[in-house]
Amino acid sequence: MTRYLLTRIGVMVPTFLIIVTLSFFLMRAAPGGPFDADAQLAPEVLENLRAAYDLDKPLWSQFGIFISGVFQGDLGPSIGYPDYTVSELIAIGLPVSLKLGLTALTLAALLGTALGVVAALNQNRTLDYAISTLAMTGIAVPTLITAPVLTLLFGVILKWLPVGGWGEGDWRHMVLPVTALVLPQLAIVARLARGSLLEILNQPFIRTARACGLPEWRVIGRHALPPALSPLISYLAPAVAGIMTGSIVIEQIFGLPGVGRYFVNGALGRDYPLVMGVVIVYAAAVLIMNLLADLLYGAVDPRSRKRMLAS
Amino acid sequence: MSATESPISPARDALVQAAAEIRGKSLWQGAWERFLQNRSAVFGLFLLGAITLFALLAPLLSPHDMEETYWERIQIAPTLEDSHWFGTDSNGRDLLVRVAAGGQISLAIGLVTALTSLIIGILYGAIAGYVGGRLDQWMMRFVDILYALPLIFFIIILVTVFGRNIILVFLAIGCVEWLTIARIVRGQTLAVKEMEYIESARALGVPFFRIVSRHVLPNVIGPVIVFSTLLIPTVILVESFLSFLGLGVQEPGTSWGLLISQGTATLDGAPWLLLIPAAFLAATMFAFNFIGDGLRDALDPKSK
Repeated sequence: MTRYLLTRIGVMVPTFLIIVTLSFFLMRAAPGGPFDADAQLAPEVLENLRAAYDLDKPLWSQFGIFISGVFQGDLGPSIGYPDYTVSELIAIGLPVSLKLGLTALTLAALLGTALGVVAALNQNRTLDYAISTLAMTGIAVPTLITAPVLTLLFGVILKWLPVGGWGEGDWRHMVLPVTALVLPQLAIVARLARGSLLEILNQPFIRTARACGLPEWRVIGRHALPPALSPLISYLAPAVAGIMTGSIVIEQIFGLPGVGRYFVNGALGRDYPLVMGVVIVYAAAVLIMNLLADLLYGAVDPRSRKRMLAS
Repeated sequence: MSATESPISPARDALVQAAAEIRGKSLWQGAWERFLQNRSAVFGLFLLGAITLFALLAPLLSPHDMEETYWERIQIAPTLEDSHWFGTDSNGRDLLVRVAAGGQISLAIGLVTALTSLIIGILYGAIAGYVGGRLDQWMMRFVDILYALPLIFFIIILVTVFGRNIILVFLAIGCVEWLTIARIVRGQTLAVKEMEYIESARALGVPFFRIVSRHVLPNVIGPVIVFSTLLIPTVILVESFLSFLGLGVQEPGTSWGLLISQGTATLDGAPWLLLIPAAFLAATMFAFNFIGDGLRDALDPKSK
């Protein structure tokens, strides 16, 4: 197990460095700079500003400063929000994004699995068709549409829920964003769970269990569900990536003060340190989630550990 | 061999003759027939055709121009009057023409970009899979690394780098979406590579690129086709996503994403500005998903 963990971390660190390096140089290759919007700055002022953010140094030494900062936990000052450091901005945004994302992830996992199992146990009956149609809708209709349409329906027309804003994390403010965020993932999880369970139900050992006269609930609960649901763990990592992507749109539409909004504003305003900071946080989150998912899967299915070590 | 003299030869001749009368069904014919039997797939095809026709023809048939501003008719609801069937937007421009023009852009981006990533992915995957060994290891490790991050971040960074030029937006998305295709093609190539017919082609001295293009690729193309029908909507979505955030298509040009974004701003008072483009985007997504599912069932020989 230790060797497995070390191998995994050995792959993760270079991956993380490559992501950070690539984003750093891509971002700097962009035409235009962070001070384009402030028209007619006196040349001396501009020079001082650039010096203050180390932008006058050669690119390589900027990169050196940046990387050594990252390993000391210092992501530098934000250019677009002059009174804040990037770490402070992320500390403001991350709790919001995390609360949204984790709620959505939990709901997607629980509800998605439940729907998938119900559909599989009722294969080719009305309930199955209803759930499959729902899943198809969830997959086909993007967050981009569901979020504003839900707002229109429940916020503007019915006036049941607030249209936007965070309201200090009040649950009423979370219902619409979380719903919009969770639908696609929920749909995918439901589909995967249905397919996986149907496959297992056709296996000989299920037939054997039934032949031995086990009650149906025991066949399903004890013998079919564990092997059917464990592969779903490997969808955890893509789900997290999907929810992160979705949350960028969601935070924009509902005006939520999360990390995704800082990322978009940073990219629009060439706020290099802010964009890099968000990329680092997200890349680290995705990599750690990948590791957790694999560890969890390894704990459930020992074969996958061997596969990882072999490759 | 003296097969003609054996006692079973009349029976065999009859069999040969019967076999000659059976018209062989090629993989593609069979697939097409199965596709046509799938009602939702055919519906998807029709829906997509109708949307494409609308996007192409509506700007030509409508009396309005997509950039023409009617100051006296700002944000009017859908009406038959003055043929503003979808109403006008908050700048007094005809929404029907704008939805059609946005559709042209969205569909074009979908096609061109899917094609770009198809070409990159197929070449990359086929080379990695066919050459194998250390090169394969390195190429796939690279794909794994790119796979590990939310691609949308890279797209956003790329778009910032390239500026908001729409063709470069195509390319930026295409450069990022090829990963899955590369994986599929590599996996298939690895499997096909070991087949006897490839070995015999190699024994006959067929050059490398000819083996890949004539013998490997045609046999791995099925899953690739299925995946690309799902790739086009993905790309359309990414484009809408970028336009929605203000990073994609810019005014006075338009796309469905941009229209939805503008519609979101006027939810209170002019919901049709959101609902109409959203309906077109959603219908397109459904159409592609139906077609993709139909193709998958049709092209998978196991599903026969």
